[in-house]
Amino acid sequence: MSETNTVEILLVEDNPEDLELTLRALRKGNLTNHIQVARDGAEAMEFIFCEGEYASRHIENGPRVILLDLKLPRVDGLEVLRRLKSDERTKSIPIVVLTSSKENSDVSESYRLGVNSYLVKPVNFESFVAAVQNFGMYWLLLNQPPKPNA
Amino acid sequence: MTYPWQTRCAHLPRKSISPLNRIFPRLASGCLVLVGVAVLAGWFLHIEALKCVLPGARAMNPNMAAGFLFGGMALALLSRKRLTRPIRIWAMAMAAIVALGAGLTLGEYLFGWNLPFERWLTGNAASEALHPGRVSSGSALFFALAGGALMAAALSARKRLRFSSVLGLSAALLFVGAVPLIGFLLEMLLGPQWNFMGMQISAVVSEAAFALLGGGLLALLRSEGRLQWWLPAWHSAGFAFGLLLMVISAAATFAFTKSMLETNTALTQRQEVLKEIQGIMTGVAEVASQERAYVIIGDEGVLAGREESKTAIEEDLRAARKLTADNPAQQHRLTELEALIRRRVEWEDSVILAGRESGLPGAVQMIATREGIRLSDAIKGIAKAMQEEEYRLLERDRELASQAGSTAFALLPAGVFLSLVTLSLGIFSLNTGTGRLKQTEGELRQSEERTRAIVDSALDCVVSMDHRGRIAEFNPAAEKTFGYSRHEAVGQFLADLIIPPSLRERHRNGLSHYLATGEAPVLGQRMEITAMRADGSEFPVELAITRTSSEGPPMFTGFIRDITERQRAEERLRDSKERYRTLFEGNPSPMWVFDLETLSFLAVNAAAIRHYGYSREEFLAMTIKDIRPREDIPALLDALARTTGNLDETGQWRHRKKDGVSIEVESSSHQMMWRGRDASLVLINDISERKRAEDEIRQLNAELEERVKRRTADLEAANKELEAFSYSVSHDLRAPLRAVDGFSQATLEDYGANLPEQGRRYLQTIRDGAQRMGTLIDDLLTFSRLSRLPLQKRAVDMAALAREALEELNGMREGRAIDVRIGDLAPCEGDPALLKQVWVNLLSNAIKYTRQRDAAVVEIQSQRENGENVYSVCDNGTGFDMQYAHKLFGVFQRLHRADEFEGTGVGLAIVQRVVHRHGGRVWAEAAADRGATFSFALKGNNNI
Repeated sequence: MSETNTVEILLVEDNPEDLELTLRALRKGNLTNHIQVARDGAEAMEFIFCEGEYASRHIENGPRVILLDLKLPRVDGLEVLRRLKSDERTKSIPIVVLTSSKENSDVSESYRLGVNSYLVKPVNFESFVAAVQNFGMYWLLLNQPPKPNA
Repeated sequence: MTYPWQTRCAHLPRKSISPLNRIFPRLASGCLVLVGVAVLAGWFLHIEALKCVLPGARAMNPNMAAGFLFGGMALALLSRKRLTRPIRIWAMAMAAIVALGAGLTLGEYLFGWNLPFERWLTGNAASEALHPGRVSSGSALFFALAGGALMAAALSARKRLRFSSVLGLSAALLFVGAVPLIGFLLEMLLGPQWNFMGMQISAVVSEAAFALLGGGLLALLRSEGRLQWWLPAWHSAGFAFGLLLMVISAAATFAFTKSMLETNTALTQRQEVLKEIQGIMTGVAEVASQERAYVIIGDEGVLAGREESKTAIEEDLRAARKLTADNPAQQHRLTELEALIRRRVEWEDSVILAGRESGLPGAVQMIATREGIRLSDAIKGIAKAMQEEEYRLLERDRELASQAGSTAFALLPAGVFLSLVTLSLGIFSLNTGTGRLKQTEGELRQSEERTRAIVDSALDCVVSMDHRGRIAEFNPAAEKTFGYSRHEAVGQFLADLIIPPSLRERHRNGLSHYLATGEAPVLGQRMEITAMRADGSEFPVELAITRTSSEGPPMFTGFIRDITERQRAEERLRDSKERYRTLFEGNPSPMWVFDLETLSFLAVNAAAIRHYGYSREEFLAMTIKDIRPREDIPALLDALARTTGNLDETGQWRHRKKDGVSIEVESSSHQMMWRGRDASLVLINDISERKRAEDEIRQLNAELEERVKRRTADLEAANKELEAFSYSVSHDLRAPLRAVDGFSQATLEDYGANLPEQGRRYLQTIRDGAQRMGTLIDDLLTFSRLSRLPLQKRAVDMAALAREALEELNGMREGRAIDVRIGDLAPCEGDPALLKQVWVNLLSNAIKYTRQRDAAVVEIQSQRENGENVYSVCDNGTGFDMQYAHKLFGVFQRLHRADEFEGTGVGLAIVQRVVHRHGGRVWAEAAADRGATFSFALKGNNNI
């Protein structure tokens, strides 16, 4: 994955089952191109800010959208969200929170920090696929992000 | 011109009327009556001495005596202190008798009448006088004056001419009586030539009587206060001197003229004496020549006129004797002469007889004796001496006459001149005095105007009253107070106008008592009595009466002040004082007043004495420091220093009672003046008990708070745990389910073709279970969240909320014909999110359980019952058996099998939890297969 140039989707997910199911859902929606997976918040940020393992990467190369779980080891999702949305370079990257939590505190805190979408993972896999396909369609195909350096 | 006998001049300094003014007329009248009675008694009892009164005088005419008697009685009546109408009528009648008698007598003189009344007293007593009863014309005139004066004096004091008539007539009477008396007195003192009026003793009594009558009347006028002499002493002396000079010069002139006249009479008399002597000598010569002729001729015829001649001589002698009656020397000579003449005539007769008897020779012989010649010589000698004496006297009288004449002529102009000078000086001086007087009058007028202005603008009523009780002055303040105008009031009786009927008698008695005795206890006193207004209402006044004229009839002025308001104010003050005393003394809380400077107690009330155990005397001997613990005193002084300028203060203090027990008090103080000292009024509230109770409460509260804190901390910890738990549930419990479901699906998708039908069904069952589990977890989480979250109450439009809930359930209703009727729902107060959940759950139930109905009806309505809003959702669905109704709202409790109606059994539990959290109730009514009605009641809120 080190040679990744442009990353379309950064999927931050620690649960391997959820990760597999999510990737399956994305695949079903034909959104498999350039998916980068981070297994915790710290890794996610290293990737985005091109640090550590990802130091060779260029920040301009994406991702175009970030799917972010909230309950993560090391650095949790809300912290990642806060860091990205407070950084000039990254705050325009759409972030979709994809989580099991329906807790009001999580929802309102996420929106306060500038999340672009908040998606509760349903137990029903078909519903999950439908949801993933919907947001992928929106953020990757319909949404027009600002041009870098424009 | 102002006359010296000004009638009433109220503003000059007054002299008090001497009682002599009344005593003198009484004495005078007594004398008159005495004289009259004495003389009349003399006449009736024939006592000459009484008739004459004075020894040596002639008897007084009884009519005159009667005149004096009546006049005296009239004067006596008039000099009584109180002149009632009957008395005045009696006096008038007596004066009229005097005047009538005098008038009739004058008529007799003037018109020659002869009226019988004059003889009533004298009878027909034999007398040489023609009219023995008639008084002289002068006396009649005087009696007329006296009668007139007395009648005028008997008139009512109000008659306008009374005063001047009495004054003029009685002054004239005094004058005509006194002037001749002065002459008589002068004669007694200086000699007869000074009796210029020729006054005789017989007239003394009557003149004195007239003078007494006139003087008595004048004194009477003076006693009435009508006659005052107010010229200064120098002017009076000047006038008196001038008048005296006039009288003296008149008297002297009169005297000299009279003496001249007398001398003239004497001269004539002397000449007549001379003539008579001449006549005698002629007669003597005649009879001698007849005798001689007879002797020579012898013819009896020549003796024919002899007897006549003798008679003529005798007559002449008699005349001469009469004329010289006042000259004894001449009388003596006359006696000698007469004797000589008689002897001569006798000798001649004897010669004639001798001639007749013995013829001529005998006669010649006798003649030759020369006896006749001797006698004739003696006669001639005496006659000559007499003539010489008369001539001498004649000469002397002539000299006296000329002397008197010249003196009179010199005295008259000198006297007139002197009196003119004196009177002129007097008038000049009087004029100067009048100038001053006018000035004084001007000042007086100004003073009067000032007085008037003061009276008019006085705030007090000023009401004057004359001695008869009539109002003379009524100032504007009185007009306002009493409701009468000055015009209406003046002249009215004071008693009738402003004195209440009950006090009138007292007022009249007081006035008459004063007039009779001069005693008036009310004068100069300040009194409070009742007065009456025009409308008859009575009101209290303060009154001071003062006598405002010290001479003449008394005037009284009352200064009256309406004290209604003052009395009311005093009463109010008394009431209020009493009230405040009660408030202080009877106050159940201890109160005191202390001096802010010395801090000593000035007053304490009964409650303070009771509460603190000190007696009042002990309190008043202490300061407020003494009832405090020593250690609190600095705080007290500090507080006192700080409170200066602040009227009201409250504070809490520790006080010490007499028994040493310390108490906690709350004091409220108010700064005030207490008998001129800065003081503070303090109200004490013993709060020892309250303090104790408060302390207990405070302690209990503290304990309670501590407990609450502990509990809250416990609760918070539990809540935290619960939150963490539900968070974990939310995240961690669903993830495996998703894996179960997701990988089952993936297996089906990827390997479904390789699986037998049974395997695919099992995988589907696994997925269903996982999904039900997911729903169950969601519902549980919702239920838990609803219990945890704080209520956010506000006004809620329940109808709108129900409609929103219905919208959310659109998915459930798809393909169903459901008639949902939402009525007018009362608004309420609550958490809209939670209440919406209630509606969602109830409506979803209704939709779910009407699934088997072709025409499902769901009715939502509300009504107000006992202050609650009762909302209900009524459906015509499956309903339930009421015997299980108690299970309806329990968590995971279901009345239907899952294959009949899916569900977790959490929805109604959520409904109940939400309603209970709002303080409401929830219940259900149903019958199996006949629909159900779910109701919940919330506290109504009328404000919405």
